[in-house]
Amino acid sequence: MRLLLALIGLLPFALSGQQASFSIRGQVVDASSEEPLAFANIYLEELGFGAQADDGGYFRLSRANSSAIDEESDFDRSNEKIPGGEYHLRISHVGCEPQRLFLKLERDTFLLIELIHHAELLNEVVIQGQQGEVTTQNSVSISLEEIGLRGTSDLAGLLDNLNGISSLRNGSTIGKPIIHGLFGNRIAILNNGIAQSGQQWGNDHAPEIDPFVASHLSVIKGVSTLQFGGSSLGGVVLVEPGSIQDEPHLHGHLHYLYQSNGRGHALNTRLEQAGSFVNWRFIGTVRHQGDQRTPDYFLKNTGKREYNGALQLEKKFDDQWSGNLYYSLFNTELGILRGSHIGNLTDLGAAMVRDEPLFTTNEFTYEIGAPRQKVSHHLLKIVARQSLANEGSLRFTYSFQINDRREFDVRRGGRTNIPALDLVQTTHYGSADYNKQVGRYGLLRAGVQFNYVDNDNQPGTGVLPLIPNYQSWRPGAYLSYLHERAEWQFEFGGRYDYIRLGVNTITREVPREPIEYDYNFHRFSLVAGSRYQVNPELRLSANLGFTRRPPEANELHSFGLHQGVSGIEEGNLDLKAENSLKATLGVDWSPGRALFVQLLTYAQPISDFIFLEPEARFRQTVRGAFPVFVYRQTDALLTGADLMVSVEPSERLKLVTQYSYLRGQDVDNGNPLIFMPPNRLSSSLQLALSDGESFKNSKLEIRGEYTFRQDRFTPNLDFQPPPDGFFLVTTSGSTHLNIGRQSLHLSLRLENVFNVRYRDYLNRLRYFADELGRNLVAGVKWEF
Amino acid sequence: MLIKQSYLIWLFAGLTLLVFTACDDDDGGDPGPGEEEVITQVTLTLAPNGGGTAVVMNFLDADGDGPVAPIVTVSGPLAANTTYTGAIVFLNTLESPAEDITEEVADEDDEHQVFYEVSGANLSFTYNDQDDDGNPLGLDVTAMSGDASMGTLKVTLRHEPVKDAAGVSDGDITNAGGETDVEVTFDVTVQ
Repeated sequence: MRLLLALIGLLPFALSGQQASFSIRGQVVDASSEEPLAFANIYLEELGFGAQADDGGYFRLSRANSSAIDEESDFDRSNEKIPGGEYHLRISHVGCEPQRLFLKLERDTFLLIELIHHAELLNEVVIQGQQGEVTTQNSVSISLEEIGLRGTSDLAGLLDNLNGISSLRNGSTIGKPIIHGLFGNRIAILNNGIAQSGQQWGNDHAPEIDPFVASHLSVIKGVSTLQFGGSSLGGVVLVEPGSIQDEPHLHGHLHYLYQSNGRGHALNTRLEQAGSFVNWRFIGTVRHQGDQRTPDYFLKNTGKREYNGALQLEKKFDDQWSGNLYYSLFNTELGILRGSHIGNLTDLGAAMVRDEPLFTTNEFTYEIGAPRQKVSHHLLKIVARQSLANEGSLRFTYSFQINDRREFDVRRGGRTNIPALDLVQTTHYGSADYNKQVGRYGLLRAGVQFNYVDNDNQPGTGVLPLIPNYQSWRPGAYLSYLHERAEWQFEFGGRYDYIRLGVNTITREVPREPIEYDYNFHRFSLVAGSRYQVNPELRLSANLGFTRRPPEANELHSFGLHQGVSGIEEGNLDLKAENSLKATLGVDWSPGRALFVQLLTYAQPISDFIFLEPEARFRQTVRGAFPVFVYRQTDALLTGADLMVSVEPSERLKLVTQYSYLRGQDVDNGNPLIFMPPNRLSSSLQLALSDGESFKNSKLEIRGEYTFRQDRFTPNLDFQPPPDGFFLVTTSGSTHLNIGRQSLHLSLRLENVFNVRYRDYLNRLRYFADELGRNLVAGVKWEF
Repeated sequence: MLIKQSYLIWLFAGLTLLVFTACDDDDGGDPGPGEEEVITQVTLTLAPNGGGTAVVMNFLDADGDGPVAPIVTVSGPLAANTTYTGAIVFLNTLESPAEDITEEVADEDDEHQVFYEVSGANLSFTYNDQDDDGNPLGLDVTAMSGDASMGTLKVTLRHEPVKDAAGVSDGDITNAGGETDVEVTFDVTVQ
């Protein structure tokens, strides 16, 4: 949750020679509705007293008990006088994450404090917080508090709870987010505003990002995004570190989490300070986890290790120039279920009829053997920003990424410790972005960008590379205009990228010879959208976006065997660009505080949709028969809806129900598209307990989630029909123990409460093993 | 203030230069690493114990996982009621000269086992070689033919089989598990 602060009515008259005292008054309101948050608590840490807002959200800090602003009060004003100085305020309200606020008291002060009451309603509010990106498009978010509470989940696992978002998994250790049915090359993941540049094409390649670096995570479920590079057909994941609070004291936290399933430990720290020379923040995370368990057996070789760090520096040089530097390092080593490493179709057939995967032992271990992945990712970002006289700004960005991915297979001849896949990808990105107020209501944004990627197979693997070496040069430019006036908001814009792709590969025929390919592509996006506040209760939004996405190196040139699905994957040199048109229609209806309904519907026809199609005949090799999957094109249509109903019968009780529906169709062949997320219905009941003497902000939550069986599938496109639907229950509780100026956050979370045995259609290892059984996650966070 | 501005501009000019210099390192036509481990050819030679012409069964898939179909040849029929000594050889012909993978299999004998499954024909296989644990390996076998008949022989090389599972040491693949490195089928005639 985020806090907006405005200082209003600065009254400098009280300054005098002696120790001056001032008053602190203010109002606490809901950021999305502007409605007052009645009975919010405000606590002044240094002086050890606080105030409670009245039913209009107003408060004044006073040593006396009665503190609500009372029009006709004969209140003793001397109690209200607070000596000038530096203070920390803690603001809390039922159902909101408590906020800490630094205040330099130099005059009588009125604070307008905006708390975000529920994360589900954040929408554009959060997007606005990011580098001033206002948009008419729809989005959903996860707060810092929830990232912490579910700190043992990976990025995809965290986002999976959001309506319309699911995750494509490769066992318990690898997950990729799916937005409205699309993933991989078709969505963009922005790590601090920079398109994550790794091996996105691989279904078993998780994004190399530690969720702990974010102060919130958002997903734009929109139609197109212009400012960001990357090949998104609409969906964008934003990992936002947020800016460092302008406060001179060292603050931060130390957070430890234990998870029973996998006996995992996670330790995270966050330190930040607005120093005299530079504002800085450091985030570090260590994770260790061993073999995880289904309700019945251990999943052999599903351990994970992570060592991550991030450093953020911000500096304001003068009134015009400011700059920031961000560096993050992500390191992971993860095991892949041993029993999923198979030779050919015969092995797959045998594995599918087994009760337990092969190599299952009844022993827990932290050891990670082959098959395993070792990935490290560096991101460096430097930004210089200039505020211009005409209320505009100019921003220069440079970023550099190195992605080093090594995958180890079970191999013969002592080669198990030689990577079977060893890729280093280097990315340079530079941009100049400009934005400017146009008239009273308009905002113009424009930018030029350049992106260079070098993907390089490292020699010595002894295996034919699955994807070739390639280099891509991509200059691009965008222009967009946003108009915001009274109840109307509309935007339109376009983006163009020229792409040159140079591929160095080898022929598929023997003798294998080096061969080079050169491609020139044009990619463009057009977007138009509008949002209309019909009345205070009802808001409508409509967006339309067109994106042309040229094929990528893997779709053109991949060649080789995918272990685990025992299929030979082949690129197709004849691929053309795919064209996507996405339309969304959103309705937000909120007749009063007790009910909020949000509906988002979308339709996305994609012509020449690139997908993997199995060939009719199996390929005979020495290893036996293999199905061959070739990249082909068809016309596809995705349609769906995300519905959310939030009911708040009382201030302490909230029931949020979400339903997501998606239908993917191959229009040319009249078949359902493969690997489309099944529909999902979830409901969560949240109870905010009243504050005790020492325990504050205590919350209990129970969540039930039913994932339907994916009934729409084409039998001969998959090895096994989709598994049955399943119902999962999660409970959690959290509380804050405030000791002086420090705070201890305690949390407990129980996942898969009833130890349900199930398989997930979107997990590629569903042919081999069940999903995880019960898991208890306990967390202690010391905040200072 | 002016100094800071120009400093930033120089910084960006430098970075831009870096980007464009980085673009120059073209890798040329580097085809990347070659294939080491692949088995492209399986040759089973069955020599009659009393002397005579050996029967050679050969499976060659010259392009590995590539699109060219494999060539399967069997030099001739097996004689009825005869005992043969069999030897199997695995080669990687993508390397030049061809690499003998049989050695790797023999070196890691505890992690490998070759299975011979006959269907239709009157032919049976027994193991002559063992790993250090006394479990069969299957590079060296004895084949005994019965009366005249026709059928198929499926040869499977498994990596990391569970050799102590029921029936595995007798050549029954059902409970062997592991992963398949070779699975080829030959037509056999006993006459």
